[in-house]
Amino acid sequence: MRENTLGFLLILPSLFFIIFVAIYPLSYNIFLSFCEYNPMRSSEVKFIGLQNYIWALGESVVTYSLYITIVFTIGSVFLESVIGLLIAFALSKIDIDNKFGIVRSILASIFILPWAIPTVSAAVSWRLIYHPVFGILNALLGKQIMWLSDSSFALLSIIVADAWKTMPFFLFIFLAGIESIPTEHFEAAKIDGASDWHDFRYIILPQILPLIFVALSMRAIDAFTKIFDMVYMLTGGGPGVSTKVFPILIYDYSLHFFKFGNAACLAIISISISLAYGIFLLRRGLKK
Amino acid sequence: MSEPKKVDRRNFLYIGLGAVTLIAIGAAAYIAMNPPVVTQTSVVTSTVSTTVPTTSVITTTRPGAPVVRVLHVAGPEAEHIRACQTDFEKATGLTLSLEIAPRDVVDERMYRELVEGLGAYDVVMGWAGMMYATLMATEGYIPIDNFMSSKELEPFYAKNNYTWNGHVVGIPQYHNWNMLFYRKDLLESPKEREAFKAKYGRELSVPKTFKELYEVAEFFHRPPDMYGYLITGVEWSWFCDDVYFMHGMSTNVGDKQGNLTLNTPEMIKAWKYMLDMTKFSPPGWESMTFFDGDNLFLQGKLFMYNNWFYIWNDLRSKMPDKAAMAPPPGDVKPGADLSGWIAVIPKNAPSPENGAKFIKWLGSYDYQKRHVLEVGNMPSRSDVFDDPDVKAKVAGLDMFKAVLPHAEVVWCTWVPELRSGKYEAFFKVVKGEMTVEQSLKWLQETKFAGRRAIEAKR
Repeated sequence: MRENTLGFLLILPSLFFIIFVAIYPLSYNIFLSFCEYNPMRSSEVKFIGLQNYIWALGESVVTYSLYITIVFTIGSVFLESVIGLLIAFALSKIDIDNKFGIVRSILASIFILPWAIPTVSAAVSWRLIYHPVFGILNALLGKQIMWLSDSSFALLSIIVADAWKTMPFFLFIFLAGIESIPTEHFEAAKIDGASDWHDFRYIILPQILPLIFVALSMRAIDAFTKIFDMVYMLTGGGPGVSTKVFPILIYDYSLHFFKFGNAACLAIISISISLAYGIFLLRRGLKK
Repeated sequence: MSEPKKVDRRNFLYIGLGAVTLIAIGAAAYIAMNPPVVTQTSVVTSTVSTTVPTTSVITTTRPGAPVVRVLHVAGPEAEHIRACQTDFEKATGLTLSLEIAPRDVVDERMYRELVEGLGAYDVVMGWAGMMYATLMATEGYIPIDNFMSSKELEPFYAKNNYTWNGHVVGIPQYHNWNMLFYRKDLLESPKEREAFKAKYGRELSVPKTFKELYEVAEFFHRPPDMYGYLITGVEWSWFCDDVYFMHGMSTNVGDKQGNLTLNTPEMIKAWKYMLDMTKFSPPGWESMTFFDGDNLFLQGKLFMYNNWFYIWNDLRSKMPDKAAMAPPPGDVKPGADLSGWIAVIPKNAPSPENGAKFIKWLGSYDYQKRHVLEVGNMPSRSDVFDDPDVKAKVAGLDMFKAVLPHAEVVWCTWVPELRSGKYEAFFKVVKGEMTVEQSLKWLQETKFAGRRAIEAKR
């Protein structure tokens, strides 16, 4: 009994922290999503039922923003995971115990750099790379493509920049997963004449599949709800609304327009979608 | 004999936890009741009374002196107040605590003061002319005419733009507006003039109307060496261009009755002109701001553009034989947008009287004159225009004075949302999804259906 009391007292500070920092704001946000609260016009918080949600479904910028955020999430997560997996596989082939082991360590240190660089710094660098006149990309291609100004290319440019930034997340998770596979499997496969592709297709992939689903679901939620800084620095959501991802739209409605009811509604929609998406992936992964 | 009582170490743990919690609560309460006084030693560079800039280290802490807390937005105007800090403190006996916020976050800070009533500042000044109506509608301030008589307010020539419900809201630190900057060396070249006349059947001259602006931009559009004009595409900068064309058609987003007037023949014309001018803008204009315009003009890659006249002194010094300034063009009148950071006292200001002293100093003849001479903006009071030093040293003063009566503000109390909507609608036209007429109709009748330009606080 005394130990239970002590345990409870010791977790009390963390509990207060979670209540005040997470649970209370979330609950208030849910409440606010059913209200009209525009403090620039009135300090009254007026309950309006589902009107904000009806507005969101009918507002073209909201539906378009949802669409491009989903496109961004799928594109970026797919690109990061594929590239991360391929590089992890390649790195796993370098034997850490022989003379090339140092090469693997150096490569691993290089590959983690994008993850370590602050997103704002990375975005500024990518702006220079994408510059239509002075950018290295156009210089290499010998063309003048408006990577960030042309609405046909802007979202793709952001996907590439974000995939570069976050690829190490998948790389090191997959590398750890591959290295946890018993070496006897590979030795047995080698005896049977299996190639690298066979190793990848029949040994590695099935064994790290649950890991892939967990990583995909985590990253999908992250990409959908937290993509802000890269987009803000590269395009600000423009040109027009062609890269106005959902977090930026929520930011506009809350801290530019001060329409907190609308912003809360958009935030709840975002949380619901990413939660549903993440749970779906996790359940599929666990079943498999 | 009873056994000695065992010492229960858990009791010490409970006592310790309780003590730490009490100390933490006590410290937090003490800090909340006694906010620290900022001790500031600032390096001040003064260029007023000496021909050579001098730098001095001045300790500005005055133990016991009342403090005036001012929020300003990053830029040369805020730096100028910092440079004048010792003068202010000598004149008023107050200590100035100046907080300079980046432009991206100043909206939130202003909101917290004027709407939430945070009560952290005695004076806030982070919103420009486009936001005057938005600011006034918050009604979260103490009008300055509570502290200044009508005689003291008389010299402020543009006060109609910052008067709400019969009260003058605050005092602008300065005023500025946009002017047209162009390459006079090319405009005055006999070879160019001859070619222009042959093509357009009239003399080449500084454009006064939008049709003339189009023709001159088209004539000097010679990519990739030179572009005829610049329409900027980043939202906040794009809105400046939008407003120039709007004012040039003598229209506004709202009428005097407060109705929203987005879908008018004048607004349609303004957008058509603006859309036409994008043809002469450099590639990538969609992600440019007027700061990019400054760089392009200085590099000799831009023939002309519209911008705030902060750039005039720079252009004059770096391109004395090439750069010139003219009134902004407009079909009805010069399309000039009035601006200038305005200082207001929030309702919950810790010391409104100190805030009023600061604002009175800001609006004083001496400070206004100093601002004109050192920063290059125009004064917010009319008598400074007649100062002999100002007349002698400000290049283009007559031109500024000629444009001033035409400068106006955006008449809407929810400018950030309006700006975002207009930007969205304009780019629907740029992408070919809608025509100008369809886009403005959609804006007025669908996106902002039922809204008024002036939505006062309930």
